[in-house]
Amino acid sequence: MYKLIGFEMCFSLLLFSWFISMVVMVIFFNLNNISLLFNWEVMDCMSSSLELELVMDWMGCSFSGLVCFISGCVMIFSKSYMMGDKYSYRFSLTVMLFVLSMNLLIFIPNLVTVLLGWDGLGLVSFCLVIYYQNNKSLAAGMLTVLMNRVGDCFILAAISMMLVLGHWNMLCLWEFHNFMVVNFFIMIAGMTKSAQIPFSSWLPAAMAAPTPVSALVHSSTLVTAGVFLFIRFFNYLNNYIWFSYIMMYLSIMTTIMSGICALYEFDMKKIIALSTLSQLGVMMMSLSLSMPMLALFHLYTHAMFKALLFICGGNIIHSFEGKQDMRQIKNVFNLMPITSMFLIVSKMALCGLPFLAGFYSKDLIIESLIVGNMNIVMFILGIFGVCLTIMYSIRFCFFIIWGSYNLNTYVNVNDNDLLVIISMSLLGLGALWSGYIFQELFCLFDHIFMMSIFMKLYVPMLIMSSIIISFGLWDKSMVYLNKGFMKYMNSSMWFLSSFICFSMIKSFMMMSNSSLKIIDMGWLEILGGQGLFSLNKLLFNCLEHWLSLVINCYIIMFVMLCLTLIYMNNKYIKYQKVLFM
Amino acid sequence: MASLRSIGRVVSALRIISVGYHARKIHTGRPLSAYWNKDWAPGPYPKTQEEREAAAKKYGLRIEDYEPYPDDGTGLGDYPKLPDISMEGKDAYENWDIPALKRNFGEPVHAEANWLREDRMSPDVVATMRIPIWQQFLMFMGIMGGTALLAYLVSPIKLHMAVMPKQYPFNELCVEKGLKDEGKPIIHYTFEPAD
Repeated sequence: MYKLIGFEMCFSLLLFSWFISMVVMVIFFNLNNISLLFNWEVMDCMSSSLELELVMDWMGCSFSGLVCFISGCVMIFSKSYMMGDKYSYRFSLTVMLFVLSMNLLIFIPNLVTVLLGWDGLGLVSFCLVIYYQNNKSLAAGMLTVLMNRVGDCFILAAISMMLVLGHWNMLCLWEFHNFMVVNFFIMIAGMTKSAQIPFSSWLPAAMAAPTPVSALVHSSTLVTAGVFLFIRFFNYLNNYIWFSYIMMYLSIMTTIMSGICALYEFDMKKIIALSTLSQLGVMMMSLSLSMPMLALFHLYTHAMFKALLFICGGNIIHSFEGKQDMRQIKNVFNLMPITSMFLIVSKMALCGLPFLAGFYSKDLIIESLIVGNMNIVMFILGIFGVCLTIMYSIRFCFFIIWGSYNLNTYVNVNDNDLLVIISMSLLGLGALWSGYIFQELFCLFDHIFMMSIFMKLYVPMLIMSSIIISFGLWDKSMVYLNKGFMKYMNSSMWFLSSFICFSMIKSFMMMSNSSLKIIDMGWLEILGGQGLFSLNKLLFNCLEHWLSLVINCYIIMFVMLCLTLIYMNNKYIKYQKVLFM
Repeated sequence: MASLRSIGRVVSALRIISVGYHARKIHTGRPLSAYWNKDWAPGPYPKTQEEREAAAKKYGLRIEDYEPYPDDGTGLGDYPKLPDISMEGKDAYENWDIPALKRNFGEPVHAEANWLREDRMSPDVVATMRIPIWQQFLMFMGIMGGTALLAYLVSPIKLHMAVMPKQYPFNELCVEKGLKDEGKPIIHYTFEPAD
């Protein structure tokens, strides 16, 4: 079977079977309204027990099933996308390791052992980002892993502070004197993984990874890990009002920043990554409005249409010989009709057009924003962030799908790769129906808001007006907003990536460099390597000197002994001759 | 004993000559001429003009371009202080002898080349930015801080979406508030038992 269908298909079958088993488990847990907690005590020391725990509940099982479904589709896509790659088996294994890490994160509710999944995600994502093994990939990978490492450090700090509790099970914590600090650390850790301001710069940089990895990382796995951690910790985080305020502000600013940056960006994959960042902001906004289940709902629907979007984008990149610049990709509507159809479906779902997947979750989040008795500035900015999603989506379509092709004289672009069509079709079904299915399946996703008819029609009107503005804004010349200082500032995420990367890394680099010179190449050399060498050299020179003297004595004694023996032998021979004469 | 030592020296000298070993001139322009890490060590700090010229020639530089690092005990000796041009700052389309490293054969390597790589620091790129880093930081903080300040200042104003008309106890108050006078008191609720 392995030789017949290939290892990618074997892995995808494994993932789909896991997905089906998870669907059964979700139905079982939902119908019986139960959760299972497996607890294995690894060690017990001084009234603190380190335990390996596994929790099986509807939330974990549904998320795991979703991750495996998307991973299965991505694996089918990677069979086509990575066909010419020499180490595609290694690539597939790494992706499977990534899926395993995500599942560990989902099912382990213990803050210590959850590091298996949390750190695993960071490490394996680094390996995947640097997969193409060039300096640019390495720089992007370093940025990704170091930014995630900040979150890891905060988790470790939270673990150390929770030592006073005697356990680290995040499902049954209770308040202690530093519990607020622990919650703050958890908030920072979640923000790094979910790339909220000021930790946003790694997410567009991580686009250096192969497109199947991007489809997996930016849809349902790495970036959603932070949101999922927040959902697990929500009951504790929600006790503090500052959590709502900070997350509301940062999530809305993240949404706006990524939306504006996407309006100026020309790299196709980066635009999709920025749209992920924007939607992560929407999820965080939902969390700050005390709607964790809505955040989870949007996470699920977003995973479906974003994975589809990445696969469509990857297929276009593959067909256009690796080009990612939107100015070089045109007329996809005529050249690749199936891909452009799925691309438009996913974009419509992203915009929240009724009745696609994104509509069910996004509409509820905007309505909760309306009825949330919010600060008027935050409300306006939040709505503006949502409108930006529609504007950059239409710009994307203008460039790629409907733009006239006028660069290459010869193109051989087609849309007949069956593997890609299969993976796109499966995810396309998700982008069309997942919102409705999830809402029907999980009663927790079904919120009711009371509002007037005007406010109810507010969201569709908002979407329609944004579409109209976008059609007016992005004309054929495509030169609006593309000049001057504003472009420079907005295309670099308000200089966030610039000053984070250059100034902060420079100071650490200089500090490391000076410590390298002073400590490693300085004092440690004197006290350690070179110093020990010199000391040993001196000692052994002395010993060698004494040894050479001793050897000389030995040689002299040996020569004298030999001469004595020869002399005695001669005497003996003479004596024998005299005796027998 | 002395004769034995002299014999040993002669033998070792003969062995060295037999394998063709001789004292090598060590500098980065001739990388193949050094085998051991000690052979790569720079020479002593040049104090006179002649020594500077010799050092410049050794490293393949013009005397005008040659400048040693300060003799502060860091051990860099006569190694030239090259401009901080990172690999990122070099032209990717130039015809380099070693394109992967963007350098030519025989070109002296920067003393800090370990962090002037494409995946590390590029101080020359930072120095030639249109907007200095500190201004970029201020702009970002201005946007974030300005928005936060605005939100804080208008925080008393909440977006309240009423789904029912406001309830007033008497018609006078209704009129005062600009609403329609119904002509009779409006009873919104009562504590009397329902009939």
